[in-house]
Amino acid sequence: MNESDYEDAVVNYYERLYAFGYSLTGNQDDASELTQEAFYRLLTRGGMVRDSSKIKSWLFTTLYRVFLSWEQRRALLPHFEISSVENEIPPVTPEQMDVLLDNAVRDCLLELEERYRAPLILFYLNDHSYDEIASILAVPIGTVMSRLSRGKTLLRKRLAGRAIGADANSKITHLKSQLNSASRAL
Amino acid sequence: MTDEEAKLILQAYAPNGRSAADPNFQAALNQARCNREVADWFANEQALDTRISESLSRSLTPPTRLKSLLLAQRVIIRPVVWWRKRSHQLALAACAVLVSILSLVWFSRPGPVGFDKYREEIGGSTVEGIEPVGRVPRDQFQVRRWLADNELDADSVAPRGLNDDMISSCRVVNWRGNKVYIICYQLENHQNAHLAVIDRAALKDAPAESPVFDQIGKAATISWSRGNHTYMIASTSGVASDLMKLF
Repeated sequence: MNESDYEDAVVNYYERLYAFGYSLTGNQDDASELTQEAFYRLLTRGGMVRDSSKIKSWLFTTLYRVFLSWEQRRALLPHFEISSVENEIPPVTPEQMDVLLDNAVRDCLLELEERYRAPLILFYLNDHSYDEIASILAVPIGTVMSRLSRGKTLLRKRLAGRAIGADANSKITHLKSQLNSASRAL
Repeated sequence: MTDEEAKLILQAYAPNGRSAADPNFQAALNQARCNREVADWFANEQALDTRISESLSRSLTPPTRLKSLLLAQRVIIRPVVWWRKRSHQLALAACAVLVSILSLVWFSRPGPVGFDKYREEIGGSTVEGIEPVGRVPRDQFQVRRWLADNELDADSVAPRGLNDDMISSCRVVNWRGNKVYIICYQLENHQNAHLAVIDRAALKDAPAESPVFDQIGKAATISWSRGNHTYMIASTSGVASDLMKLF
């Protein structure tokens, strides 16, 4: 791989690769390291990628494999179970989304199990078709479809929970300010 | 296709319209066009997905220096062409050594030598003067075992006038890269005779099956071939006519 191709690959894919890495590891340092490792391998073993149109998939697949090898080595992947209480929370609406902060959306995603988190982030990065996602994660297309569906449901329930909390906080803040105004008037 | 099936498929529909050209979504999209409930669900789904996608894009921005680090990586870590990698260099060196050894073995293999040369050097010499290869058997028992070990049946190849009881010693010598088995006989008149056996292919012009008699200086020889071997009886102190009596 020549320097120009490498540079193009960095410019075109590093942000999405980082986002994918972040969604897998949940922290900036590991996401950066995963991204660097993927590009390092492209630099040193990129000769194996004959078709330049395959570089994107190659990078995502490589990053995911590196992550899995880390996971196997460390066995420290946090595991979150969806509580039964959340089943009673109604799904989030587009209006409620306005209340949510971007970081809260990210945090909700990070709370999901890796098997849902990985296909979801690839889907939301808007850069991969579902069959590409299947190829990157090395799972059947049907599995991707079902994990996307289940992952979306879980994510939205978590988002709804946050939105309700945020809405309640907003109302409490509003009430507090009203009370303060009233007490000052008295 | 049921509404639920259509919804399951449309959940994988990218919010940025990227999936519009994908034929796998067409049937589900048609279902959404025909069914108001599915259409509303899909519109809501797309609106949510778009917002989540935008939100994630904003919250998952890489650190500012990551791009510089990645670009610097190409300068720090120069791609190594395969033949410059240490492991490949070692493999190449090993291959070169192997090829050299094989070439050496191949080219040093002895080619066939003229029979005249063989007769002159083995038949005309005192065999005892040639350094033997391996152990030389010292007694009759060892001689018989040596003959058996080397698959040499002296009785079947030696002429009638030479028998096992007359064997005084045996040895193997290396002659121009070929093994020559030599059996020494003690003749009645206190003279010695040596039966030399060599691979027939080692000689360019090995004699035929009929014995050939020759006199080389003081040495007399009788030579013949049978099967894959060439045999020669030589007596350094005799004459051809004496050896002929052995047959």
